[in-house]
Order: sequence, then C-alpha cells, then structure tokens
Amino acid sequence: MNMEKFLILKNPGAAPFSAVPSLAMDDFRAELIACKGTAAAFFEHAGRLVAILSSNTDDKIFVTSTPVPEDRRYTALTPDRPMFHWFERELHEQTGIVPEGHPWLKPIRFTAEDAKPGVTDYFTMQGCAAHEVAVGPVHAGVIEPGHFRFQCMGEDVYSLEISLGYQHRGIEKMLTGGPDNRTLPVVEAIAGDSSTAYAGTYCRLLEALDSDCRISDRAEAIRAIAWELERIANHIGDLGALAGDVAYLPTASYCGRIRGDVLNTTAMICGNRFGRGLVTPEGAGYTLDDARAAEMLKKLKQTEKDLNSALDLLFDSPSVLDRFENTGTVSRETATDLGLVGMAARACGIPCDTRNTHPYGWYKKSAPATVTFPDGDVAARAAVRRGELAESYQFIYRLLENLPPESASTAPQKRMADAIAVSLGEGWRGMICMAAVTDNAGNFARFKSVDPSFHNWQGLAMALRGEQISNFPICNKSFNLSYCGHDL
Amino acid sequence: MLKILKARLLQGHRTGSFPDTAPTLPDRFAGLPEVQSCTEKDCAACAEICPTGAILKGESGVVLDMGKCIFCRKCENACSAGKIKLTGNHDTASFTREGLVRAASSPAYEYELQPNDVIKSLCGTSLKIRQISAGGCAACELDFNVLNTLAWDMGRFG
Repeated sequence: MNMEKFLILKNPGAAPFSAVPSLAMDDFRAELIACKGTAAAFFEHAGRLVAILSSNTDDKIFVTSTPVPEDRRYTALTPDRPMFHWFERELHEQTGIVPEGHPWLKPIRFTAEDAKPGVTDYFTMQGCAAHEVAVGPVHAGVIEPGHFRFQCMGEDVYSLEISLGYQHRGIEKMLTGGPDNRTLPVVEAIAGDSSTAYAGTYCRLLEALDSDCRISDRAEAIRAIAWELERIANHIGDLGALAGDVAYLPTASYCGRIRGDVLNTTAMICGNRFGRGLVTPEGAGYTLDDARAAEMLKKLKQTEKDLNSALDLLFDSPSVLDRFENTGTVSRETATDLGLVGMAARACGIPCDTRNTHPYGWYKKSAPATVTFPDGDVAARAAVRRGELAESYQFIYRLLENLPPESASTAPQKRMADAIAVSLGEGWRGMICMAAVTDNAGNFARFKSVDPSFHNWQGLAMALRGEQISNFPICNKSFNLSYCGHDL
Repeated sequence: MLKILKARLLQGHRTGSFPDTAPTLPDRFAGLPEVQSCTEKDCAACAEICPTGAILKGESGVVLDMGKCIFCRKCENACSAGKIKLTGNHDTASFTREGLVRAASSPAYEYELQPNDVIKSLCGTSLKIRQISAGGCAACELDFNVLNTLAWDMGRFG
C-alpha cells in the first residue's frame, strides 16, 4: 500500500480537502483493491470520488480520491474487493455514477423518483421443489420494516436477499448546510438505540475541525460511561431476545427486565433511557455528582449479579446451545472479504474494535478489552456479547469509582473551512463512520454517515446460506442490525 | 431444573403495580412541559431554539405542540423568565391531534378516557395499541417492546 497516495488522518481527524490526493482512476482502483484497510466511506464530492478507509494495521484513517470520469462510469471495485459492494450500490443510487461490472447493481434505499422500496429484481431459483419466501417489510412484531427474500428447497435456504430502504428519512440531506440547532437531535436519531455513540462520533467530528477545543477528562469519563451503558443495555436485550427465539423463557424474561434497569441507570444521569442530550459538543449535557455516581454503581452491580444468574442458565442449557452452535455460520474469510465490522466480525475471530484499534476520548487511556470468538455462528455472536458485558461493567465500575475532578471543557466553536473531517466511533454493533466536507464558511457541504449495519447486512445474508429457514429469527437476532441506521 | 428454580427465586417478582401506583421515574426525567403565560413581548427565545419547531410564540403567548416536542429541554434552558419547565408528568397521550397542543390556557393535564361511548362499552377493558414503524429511529419500537417485559407486563391489560 503506497502511503503517498493517501491523506493520513488520526481518529478523529481533519485536513484541508485540497490535501486529499487526486489519483488517476487506474491508480485509485489499484490502491483500493490492494489496501490493508476496511472501507469506511465512499462518496462523490466536488467532482471527485472520495474513498475513506480505516486502517487494519494501525490507528490511522486513509483518505484518497479520483476525479469522476466524464462519462460517469468506471470499472467496479466489488468483483476484486467485495467490501465495496454496498458502497458502490449506494454511490450509484446517490449519484448515478455507474460502477461497471458490479455484480449486483441494485437500489439499497430506493430513493430514486420512481423507485418503490422492495420492488426490484430478486435472485431467484427455478426448479419444481424450489420456493420463495418473502418476509416483511411489515414484520411479526414491533420492529423496524425491512424485506427478506429467501430462495428455498423445503426447509433449506439457498439464498437470502435483503432489501431495505423503508426507513429512509433523508438524514444526510438534513445535515447538509449545518450544523444548526437541529443537527445534534437528528444525529441522535440516526439509530435510536445508538444515540450516545452517534452523538459522540459527531462531537468528535466537530472537535477535529477546531484544534483549539478541549473536552475535560470529567466530560470524557461521562461520555464513556454513557457509551458503555448503551452497549450493556443492548447486549442484555439481544441475549434475552435470542433466548426468547429458542423458547428459553427464563432468560428471556429476566433479561427483558434487567435491560430496563440499565436503561434507567442512563436515565439517572440525563432523564431519558436512550441517553439523548447526554453527549454534547460541550462535553456532557449533565453533571454526575458523587452521590449520583455511587447510586449508579450500586444499581449496576445489582443488575450484573441478576444478569449473570440469567445468563448462566442460558449458556448452560444443552437445548439452547444445540440451537446456537453451528447455526448461521459466517467464515472468517467471508467476514474479511465482506469487510464486516464490530461484533459480527469479532464473532468470526477478527479483532476489530474501534475503541482499541482507533482509540478516542477516554478509550485513549483505557478501554474494555476486545472480545473475539472464532466460530462465526450464533453461539459465537452470543458469546461475544456475554464477554463484552463483563468487560463493560468492569470498565464502568472503574470510572464511577474514580471519576476525574470537575473541570471546564472548551467546546468546539469554529470549524476549519474547505476541510474534510472523519470520525470513527465504536457503536455497540460496530464501527460508525462520519465524514464531512466543509464549505468556505465551515458549514457542512457534504455529510456522510455510515452505520456498522451498512457493512454487516450482507453478513447476515451469507449466514443464512445452507441454513434452515426456521433458524432465521436467531440468525437475525444474533446480528441485530439497524434498519434506520442503514437507511438514513 | 433446580438451577432454573433457584434463579427464579433470586430474580423475584418484578412486575410494577401501575396503574394502582405511579411508576418511579428518575429525578431528571424529562416529562410533559408546563407552559406559563409569557408577557415578554419581544422575546421568542424558546421558539427560536426549538429544534423541531414545536414552539410558536404569538399574540396569545407560547403554544407548544407535543406532536413535535422531543423533550430536549432547550426551551427550558433558553427561557430566562422560567415560563417553560419540563415536569415529571409522563402522561402525554391524547385521543386527538389537537389535544397535543398545549398553551398556558390549556386545562391542567388530565388522563383522557376513550371518548367514544360505543367503543368504551364494547372494548373498555381491553387495551389495544397500534405502533406504526415508518421512518423513525427505532427507539420507540424498543421501548414499546419493553411494555411486554415483566416489569410492565402490558398483557395484564387485555
């Protein structure tokens, strides 16, 4: 990989947009195909195709670009480097640029004028015993809409195709021209179960654009507590849901309640269970006095005790393990090829965790350890969650017991003009990437938000191949990807 | 089997006694904003700061549309006269869209019962909620599903 062909940024980082190398198309393609990184963002701006990668070997972010060809066509990257699959489909949908030779150039959000979500060609199988099962967009439960098209022979799934876009709200357009007083609430709503992680990633984008700002240690500690509480709540919910889907009701019921207790702990700081308003550009939106911190510590320790009782039952039950093990397996090779991120990748043995690979905020001082399991099945994805729960609890206890003293932060006030800024954050699902290009007034001329689910939906599709269709619920829940985070 | 029973004893009975008793909410809970009459003719700080345009400041004072409010507290923090305050009141539902609009002159919030007598007589002891998941952030869906968990146990209400 030729480092001169990339602008190298820290996480978060910003630099003049003019510093992004503009390579010839052949060079651009060659560098991206050979790169030792994970695709983080890919978009058109100011006549250039911009590619952002997160390094797989160190803590850097790489940015490069190529001029958009006159005829707005280029040879697709996906056949040689499958991790660009979804990114090239998005590019085509957003700009009309054609990645020639893309194996599956279909809409991902159905945002074109005449597009109807879900109405498109699907991969189909022919044969007298072959049948097609369509699930969604309206699902059997209060969950987000999305469409799943299975090609089956009897119970066996040969192919799953996932078609999304039902939750498209126009987030990137809403954020263009900002920041204004709407920006933070919109960012918090990109994926409502990851509000604090998104808010943090966005705040660091602003911090990268103003080199004079400094967030106090106290605020960074509160932010990190918010992020880990968010992770804990979601993992508890997921393990309970997995238990429910294999009809193991004790753990399903207990986790349902315990997750609520953790959410209420977040609400102790900021008044709402999803941490809205807790992570702000000024640092933290609420203070955490010693008495409150002590009360939170006490409550959290109790929830961990209750949780371990519930989880021991689950992981000791042979009938549960029989359902989880060797189900929905994604190989490490497939995960690497597809550029899966976060928990789904860690459950295939890949040690990617932005808190440790590209540390930021309090994680620069200390972070929960990266938890991996090698098998790539539902059991591994459940085990990663269990391991991360233990790590996150300990991390929060250490912080609550040793909060740094109160001190003032200097919030970001101004923004570098004509700059590109990139911020990576580890949401509970995996790597969030936010990139912005500012105009000559320092406002967002282009805003790109990439959810971990953007990388991982294809992983779920692969997990179902050769699997029984009755295992779809646990496969889906073991990934638990975001529809709205993907659809923007 | 014994481990399961042991765990059941440890976990205990957790279903809350709502509606017989009010739920215990955190002290910083951001609930229904209370609007007092505002005589600051030249100030519209609340309306200007509101990210969703939920607040209108007009001749008759401040009008707050709960259909748009996201309980972010920016109005409360912006008002130097303390005329808008988020209370701990979690009851914010209405059977009509108009019922979501609050002003200083709005009646004190009262829990609404089904206004249609026919529906009330036929279905008065059965709770039905339809949630439409289209273009949100999924947080409502998550907390809605919490209603089925044992602390809330929505199934009790038919």
